[in-house]
Amino acid sequence: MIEKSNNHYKATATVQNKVGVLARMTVMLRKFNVNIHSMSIETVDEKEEFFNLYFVLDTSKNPDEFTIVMKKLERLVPVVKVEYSECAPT
Amino acid sequence: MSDKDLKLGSEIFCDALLEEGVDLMFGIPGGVILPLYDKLNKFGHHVRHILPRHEQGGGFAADGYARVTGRTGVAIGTSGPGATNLLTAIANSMLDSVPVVYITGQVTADMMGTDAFQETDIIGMTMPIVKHSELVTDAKDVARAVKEAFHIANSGRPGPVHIDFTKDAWVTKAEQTPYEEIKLDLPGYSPLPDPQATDEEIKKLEELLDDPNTKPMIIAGHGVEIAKAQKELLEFAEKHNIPVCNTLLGLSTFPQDHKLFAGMIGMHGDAVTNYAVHDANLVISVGSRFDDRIFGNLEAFCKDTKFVHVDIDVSEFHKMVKTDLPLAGDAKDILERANTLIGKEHKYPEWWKQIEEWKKEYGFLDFKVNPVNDDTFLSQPRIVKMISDATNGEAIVSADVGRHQMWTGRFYRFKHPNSHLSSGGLGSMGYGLPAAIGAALGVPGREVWVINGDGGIQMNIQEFATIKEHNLPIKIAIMEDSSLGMVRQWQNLLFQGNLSHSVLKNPDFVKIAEANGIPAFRAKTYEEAEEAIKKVREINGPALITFMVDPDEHVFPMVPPNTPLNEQALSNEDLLNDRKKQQPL
Repeated sequence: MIEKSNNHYKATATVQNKVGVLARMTVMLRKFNVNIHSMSIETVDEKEEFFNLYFVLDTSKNPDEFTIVMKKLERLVPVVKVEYSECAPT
Repeated sequence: MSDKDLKLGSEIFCDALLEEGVDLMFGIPGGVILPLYDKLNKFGHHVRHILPRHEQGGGFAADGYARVTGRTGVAIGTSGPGATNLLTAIANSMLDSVPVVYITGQVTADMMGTDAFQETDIIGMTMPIVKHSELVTDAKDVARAVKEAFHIANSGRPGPVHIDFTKDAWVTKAEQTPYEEIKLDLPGYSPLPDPQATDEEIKKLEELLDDPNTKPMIIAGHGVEIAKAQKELLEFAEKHNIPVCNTLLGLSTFPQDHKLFAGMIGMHGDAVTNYAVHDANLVISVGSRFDDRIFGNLEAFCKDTKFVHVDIDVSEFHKMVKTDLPLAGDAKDILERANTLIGKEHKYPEWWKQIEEWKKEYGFLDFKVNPVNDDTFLSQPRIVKMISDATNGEAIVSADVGRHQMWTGRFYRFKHPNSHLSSGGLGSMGYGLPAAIGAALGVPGREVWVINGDGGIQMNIQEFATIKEHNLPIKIAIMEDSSLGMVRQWQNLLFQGNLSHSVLKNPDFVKIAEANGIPAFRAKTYEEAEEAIKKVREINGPALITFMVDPDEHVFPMVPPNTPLNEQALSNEDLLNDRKKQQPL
């Protein structure tokens, strides 16, 4: 059980359907000590070339710091787009 | 299509390398990558393959090649230990944004996950230290993966790309599509930021420069070299009369004999530079990511300063300092547009007067010889300056990591871009020697020197054999102080002189070199040093000098961790008398 952080964010990432894409993202989140509180997934297109990953993230990072994390996440090659916003603790 | 019309994955790979214009690679064969090597030597007349004695040496050599040529380096290792031995080199390329394609072998796809012989999850291991990576299991994917890897590695902010090929990828066959017809499948990758800085944003710079109270400084980093923006930077600085300092990796991007050159910033930068950056109220950073080794104490660094940050990687904006004017894009393009859009010229006479006063008070681009032990030992900065003078600043210099690295940055007067090799971000000892191999092969005809410590040289000393095998005319200078020198300095100054496990009992480097067929000399006096430098430059091939240097000559200035730049220590006494500066963390 980890200590709960004060800041919670929702993030949606549109990613290519490739082996290891989730691992790449979680490696990046771990690097910044961001915990995944919950996540879900949906396909975007009929060919299943892209997926949307929905995260609720739990972190001590303030919104400015969190923005850097999201920009780093968006730089991952199989990640097409990332959108995020603050949210209330769940 | 009949089987004879199909090509092996290993053949497709070799063809793809030729299409990418690869002329040099560094690699060591082994188990699962042997099918590739079975084809590689048949391409030997097109692509030169160098066999390093350790994969890390090969990785660093590819990194050095990429830095001096601007082209993409290639390093190869087999699965398991061959792949894990590349990890440090990959991390080094990542932290310094160097384009290298790293190739590893992998067990067959059906054996993956079974803990097969020499199986490691190398994709998993490299994930945090690569720009991108891919596992390829079939010949049909080989050419696309290679094409994507080279595109990603050397576009935008460069970096290492790793491709892990299972044995199946080499031994299966596929139809070969003409290379130019292969489409990249990279919808998430854009080399340039979107959006890029607009002309209106760039023009805002003029308002900042117009303020009569402005005290501007340009920090020119490695990004200037990557973007080949040296000419544009010079024009911009001259037009607005702004002092230009370099980060360690930015050295050689601005002419060091220019009146606007303001030295090297950072933990062991020039005293004048650190005072000036601290006192500046407008910092224009071009292609630098505000590494913690350059700003000292972040709070003090940012106080009352406006920051303009030019970078191709928008995730670097606001990461360390809150930027007032982020300018996203290629440094060359942004400076070009700034030179056109900002018509007015500027002068800052009061600011320059202050800088000139600092130069008089603290000296500039000069060094002090340790007065205590000068009769017993040689002084490292003086040796660096002797090499700089002898080579007239024309050489490529590959430094390792430690005190000699800082003195090389400070006292070798680089005259040409892409001439300074250094493991800046990772700070990896063992880099200097193999990186010089890449440089010597990448730019034949240029004089190449390695300036190394006695600790670091032993981390990749096996590459003496590689250097001799190819008779590479690399001149190796070892600063022999029987210590892990920078560690010793920190222990002397920050840990009350407790030299815990930092003293080396060295082998005879002259004998080791000679055993490898490399002529070698030992210098204990400045006369011997001068003579040895002259001799090795006359030798048509590799040569080594080990200089017996003072173990207790410390690099100053020193900005202890978390200390403001203007509180830099200028001497042992300065640091030891001020207990505040002795906090190691």
